[in-house]
Amino acid sequence: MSGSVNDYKNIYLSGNLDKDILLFKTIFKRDAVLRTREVLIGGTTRCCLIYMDGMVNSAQQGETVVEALVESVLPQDFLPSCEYISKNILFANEVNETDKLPDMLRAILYGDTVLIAQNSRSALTINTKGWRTRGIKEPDSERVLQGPREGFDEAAMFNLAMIRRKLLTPDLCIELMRIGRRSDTPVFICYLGSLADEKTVKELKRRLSKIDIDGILDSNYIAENIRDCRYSLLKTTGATERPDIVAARLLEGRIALVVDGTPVVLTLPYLFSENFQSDEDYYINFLLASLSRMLRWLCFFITVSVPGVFVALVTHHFELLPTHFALTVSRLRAGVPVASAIECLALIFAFEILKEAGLRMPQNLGHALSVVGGLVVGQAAVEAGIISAPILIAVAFSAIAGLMVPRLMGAVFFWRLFIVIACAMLGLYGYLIATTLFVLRVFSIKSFGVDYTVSFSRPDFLHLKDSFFRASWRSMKTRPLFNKNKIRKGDPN
Amino acid sequence: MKKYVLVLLTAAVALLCGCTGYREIERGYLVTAIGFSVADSDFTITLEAISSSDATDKPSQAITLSGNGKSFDAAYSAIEKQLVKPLYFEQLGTVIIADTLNDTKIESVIDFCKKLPSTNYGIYFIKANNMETLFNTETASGVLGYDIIGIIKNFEKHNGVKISNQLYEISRSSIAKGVENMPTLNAFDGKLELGLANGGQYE
Repeated sequence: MSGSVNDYKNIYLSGNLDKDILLFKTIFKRDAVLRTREVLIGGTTRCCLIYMDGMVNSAQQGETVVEALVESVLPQDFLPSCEYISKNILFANEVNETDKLPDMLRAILYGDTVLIAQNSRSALTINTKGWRTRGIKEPDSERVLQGPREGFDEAAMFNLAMIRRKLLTPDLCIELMRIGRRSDTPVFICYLGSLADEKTVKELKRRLSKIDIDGILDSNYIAENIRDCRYSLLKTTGATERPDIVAARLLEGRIALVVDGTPVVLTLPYLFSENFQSDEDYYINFLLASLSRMLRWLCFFITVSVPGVFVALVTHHFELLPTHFALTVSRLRAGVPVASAIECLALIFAFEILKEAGLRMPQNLGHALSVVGGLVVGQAAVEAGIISAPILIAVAFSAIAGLMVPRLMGAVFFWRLFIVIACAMLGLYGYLIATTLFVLRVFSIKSFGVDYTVSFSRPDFLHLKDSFFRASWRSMKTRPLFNKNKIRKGDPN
Repeated sequence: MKKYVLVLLTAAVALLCGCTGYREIERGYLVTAIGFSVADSDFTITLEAISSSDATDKPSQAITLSGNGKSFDAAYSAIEKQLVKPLYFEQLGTVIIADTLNDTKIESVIDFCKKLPSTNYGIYFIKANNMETLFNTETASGVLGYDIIGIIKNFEKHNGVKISNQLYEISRSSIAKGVENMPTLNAFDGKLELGLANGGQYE
């Protein structure tokens, strides 16, 4: 037994109601919330409703199923038939007939009610889902000052509805796959049929079908399994909690993966330049958005480079420092017991610790942490001569710059460390080697067959218009390079 | 996996064996000016170096060191023997040559400068008639080498001339200009004065 509902695919209902009820009770013998409720249809024919307590909308179930069954009037020649019950008795808006036990079990587990009747070898699955959801809220991690404020919640169906509300077109394709041996999680593949590349859709399905895992509790379980470069620090699938972002990406010919149980929707292919895009870029003036985006690029280079370059300058290339600055650094470093490179690495780790602590603690304590961590510990450490002020400033500046590109946070941390070590060993030559390796790495990555840096493949306005800067909507005439229908509007030339 | 282990080992070996040229700026003397003079085949090197104190709240101190020997190399060794920390020449901005040095000796000074670790090819060559007075002059910032650069830049700005006497220029034309053509820096009554050869004209 693998624990999957598919373990029961060779078992069928017997038509004997008592035996069939017993079958379900046996399958869920250690599940205390399974409910079975026997009802007489029209006062004569026995049937049984099977459902999970807490997952169904009791009021809806009472009105559209129980009441309908009890108050129904059966014809004299009535033979128990699911088709008849479905068409003539039930008020529920979604009723399906099935004789497959895995489908019945899946329906029960997903909040539906299964109706089995005496002398019937098939059953009805009735949509009575009614679990509570968190509701539509603005995602904390993707706040905007201007633009839509709605965010996904954990119920995939509601999330799909939010996407569909933005794309009122029959071209929107939504395909269902179930992943996870035990969780059997519904995963929906969404794309616009006329825009998405069929090869990419096919490749995605192939990778999804190869996932062999016990359960999917978040979309990252899938992202890690379908990514092109398993050990890369750079992500090759986008993640967002905002329906407007998903809709925008679908309109660019991308594919979205909506996973039940998480508000995070994956989008793919994902390009390197997307790390520097903000949700708000498209809702404000394009000049301001372009300025912000260029600042983000600059901050990315600052955050990965500043600590390493500083270490290179104060340990290998004193000649590049202005004399007074060299003297100041030398004076402030006096008495510090550890080497500059070690001091720099320690501070980078300290900042990561502070950041992690800040993320995990209650919001009210966040300010206290920044005061204690930033001011008290930092100042005390400098005054005690444990660390020197110049390196503290370099690392702090780098850390602040890093906050401008939150999507690259993990990768930035490792690249910063790598560059510091390279600079400590080889000075600015080390910096050049490390950055060259970084550029080579970035250019070698693919996301679902699309070059990660496809935006920079041709350095002209047409291809750079949504990478280093954001062109005006009037000039956004083409979609990204990887989809089959590139023309967004008018004549691109 | 083997690749990663190899890279890590290489990095660890390079870091542990100290073969990377890694130095700490505060663990040496930053030389800002160096002077060369010869008297009766006695070679003398005088240099100004900044030493960080061991406490961050105390200012750095400029010290003047001098050594003699049968050659400039010997004079330099004599200075090194006095020190507990190495000399760093990256901040060296000025080479001061006694006006008594002939062309051959200047060539040996240039060779000496080229042999220094991390030679800065932007260092200025100037001459002085009294090395000892010059190095003992109290300057505005307290760092002679730093102030000389300031004086040269100011001179260039106010007189509209370009003093082309940096190491990369001198080494290109060797000693063609000769010591008599070098700008002169002397201390009078505690003030530094820069003068040019050929009546103020300088090419």
